[in-house]
Amino acid sequence: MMKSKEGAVVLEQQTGMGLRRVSFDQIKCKVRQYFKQLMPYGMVLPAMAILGLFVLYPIFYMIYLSFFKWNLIGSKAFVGLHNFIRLFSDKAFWEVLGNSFQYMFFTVFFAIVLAIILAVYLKRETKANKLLQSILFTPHIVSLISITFVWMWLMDSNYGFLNYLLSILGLPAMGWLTDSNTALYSLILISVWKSIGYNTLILISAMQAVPKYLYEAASLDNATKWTSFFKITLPMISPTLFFLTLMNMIAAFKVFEPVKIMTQGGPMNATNTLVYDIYQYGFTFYKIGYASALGVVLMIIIGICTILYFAGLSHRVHYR
Amino acid sequence: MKKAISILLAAVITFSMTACSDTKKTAENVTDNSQHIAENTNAAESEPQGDEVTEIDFWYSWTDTIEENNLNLTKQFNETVGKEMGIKVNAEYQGTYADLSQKLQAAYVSGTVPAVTVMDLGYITTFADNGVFEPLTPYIERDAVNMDDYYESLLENCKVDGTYYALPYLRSTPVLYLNATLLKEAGLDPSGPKTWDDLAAYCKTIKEKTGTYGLTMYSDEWLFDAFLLQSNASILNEANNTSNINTPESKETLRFFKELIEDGDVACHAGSDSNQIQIDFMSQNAAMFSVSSAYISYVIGLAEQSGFEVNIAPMPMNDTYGVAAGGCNLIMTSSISEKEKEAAWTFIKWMTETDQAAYASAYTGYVPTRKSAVETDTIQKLYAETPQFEIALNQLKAYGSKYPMVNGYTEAADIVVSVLDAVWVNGAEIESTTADAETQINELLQETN
Repeated sequence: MMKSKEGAVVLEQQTGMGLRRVSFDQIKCKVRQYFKQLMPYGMVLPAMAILGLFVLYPIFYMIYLSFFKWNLIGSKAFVGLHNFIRLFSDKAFWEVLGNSFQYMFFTVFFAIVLAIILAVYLKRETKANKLLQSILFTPHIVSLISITFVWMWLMDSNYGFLNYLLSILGLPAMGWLTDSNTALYSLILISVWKSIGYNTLILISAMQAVPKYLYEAASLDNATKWTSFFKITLPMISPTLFFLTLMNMIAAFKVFEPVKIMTQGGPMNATNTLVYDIYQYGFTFYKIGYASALGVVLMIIIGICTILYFAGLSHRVHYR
Repeated sequence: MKKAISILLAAVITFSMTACSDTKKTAENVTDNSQHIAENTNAAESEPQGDEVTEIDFWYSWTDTIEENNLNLTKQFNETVGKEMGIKVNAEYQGTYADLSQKLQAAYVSGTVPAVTVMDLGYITTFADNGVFEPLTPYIERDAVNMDDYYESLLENCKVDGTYYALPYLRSTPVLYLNATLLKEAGLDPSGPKTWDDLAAYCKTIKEKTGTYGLTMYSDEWLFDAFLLQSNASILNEANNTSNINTPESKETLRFFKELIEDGDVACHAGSDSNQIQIDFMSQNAAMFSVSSAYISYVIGLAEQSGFEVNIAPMPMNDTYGVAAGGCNLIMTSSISEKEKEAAWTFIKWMTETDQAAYASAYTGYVPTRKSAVETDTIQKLYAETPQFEIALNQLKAYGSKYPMVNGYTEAADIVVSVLDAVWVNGAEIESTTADAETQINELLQETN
């Protein structure tokens, strides 16, 4: 209000004559309009500031650091693309990248496919199903760290419960986390177990939202259950499926806690994933520049995955 | 337009996701530090004397007897010398040596370093080279500290390029822990194997007679270095610039234990699974294991509860005897005020004095760092009652080697662990594994130095 009054004073002086009431109202109106336009920016400013400070700034700083050799405590030395050249010529890096993709592929594949099967089974609203749903959902609520410790005990090669079960069945003990051939799959198992409940719950609600009349129409046409699943259910839940796949993919690429706690990237690099590698180079080996270069690679990979996904699959996703 | 928006959206999600994982970790450190600052300021406010008392922080690693020792000594200092000179030391637990170093790195960047901290030998060079640590030579010369009183091999790991950056604190050598009860049951001499051949024979007999493993171990670079020293080699060469992992001695060592492991006489756990050796030994699933002498009092205590007798033996010899010194030194950071530096030096000096060195050794099993400490009643009485405590010291005096303090050794050690994981745990072929590791370590050492 103060502003609008001042505005009126300025205008009065300019014309040199007394102003009529109408123009004052016009100004008031304009200011209000101006205010209205600025308002949304003001509202998002705090969020944007936080995003800028904690997301955008670190990203650009990481890109900047990837051109330096630095141990975080000494002085930086500019090395150009050296970090990237070393990275791409390093055998271990390709192993790590392979692990990350393998981990992502299997985690997402099983977490989604099994969740669809479970969702189809659990979508009818009975009391037993509701109980099962909550049981299935619990791993999602429990902290990943505690889950990891529990599984570590289960998978212990000498005193673990899983090997105890195997011995009862007369099968040889497995080095769940200590054998380089199985360690990554053990981690995948845990990740699938943890994410399946959440995925199932989301898919159930998506399936329940599919209009009943579509199924009625299909049954009038003598469609089999398979046909109605593939022609009605799957297309109708595809937006949800698409969302879940994307989220699971990104989560799988970011995997860190189980690796850090259970295997520390071993044995023989078998479970070393990109994020753990970044951590290791940055904070154990004090090679911030190299770690940043790895970070840039991770960012680009996730970026490409996401963009390809949106661009390639978006037109196939059924939107209601 | 819609497509553009969706791509933009994708990009935003991507960036926020990747950045998340990075910031989360640094955030952890930051909150740790800010909490720690908050605690300090609170403590300072509640202190009525204000200016007169200089408060400094002291970081330490590990729990159990080692932690008790650190806390007891700090308390004793605060009540005696500290009270006199107006110094108050706050001891703070920081996890393992690796955790502590990570936190120190972050603390240095954010300007909240502790005045004094214990420091694993492997990290000293990197920090000292970058000016994080205060050179102690001027202080040592000013106060005429009798450096000859320290064991020579311990001092080697306190110097970087001839300058002292640390004083020896909790130092140890690996020793062999034996389940004497099991050994007697298998009809073996409970004083333990003297040579590698003895060791192999012991393992085979124990397996045959009692069904348990003879020896349990994990892929540990420190133990492997000891094995190599016993075979007239070491992980790195004298000049610390090339790796000896692909030498005949190294391959022979790998083969010797690989055969025992494959026969089921020795258990070897992955490098990430180090706890297993304690479990194996305590549940009497293995008759021998080798770790730092720091655990002597802890292990003896636990074994008493489980109802078996423990013996400590020196590491057996192959071509010769050999162990690498380990443990931590005390260091002072450089980015603190002059007043704090004086306080820190007073604390470090006091902590490493004869009586305190004797106390720490007797309380934990770490070696007495000073010759005069061995003469004290505390140590003499201890050695008379439990001669096992003397073994680590004797090893150190006779043939203790210095720990390789060179930039990039942490990473090299990681490569060694993966070689051990490959050969001992996963049964990989020795020749190609060591050849690969040699190239990797040499490249790495060349690049970081």
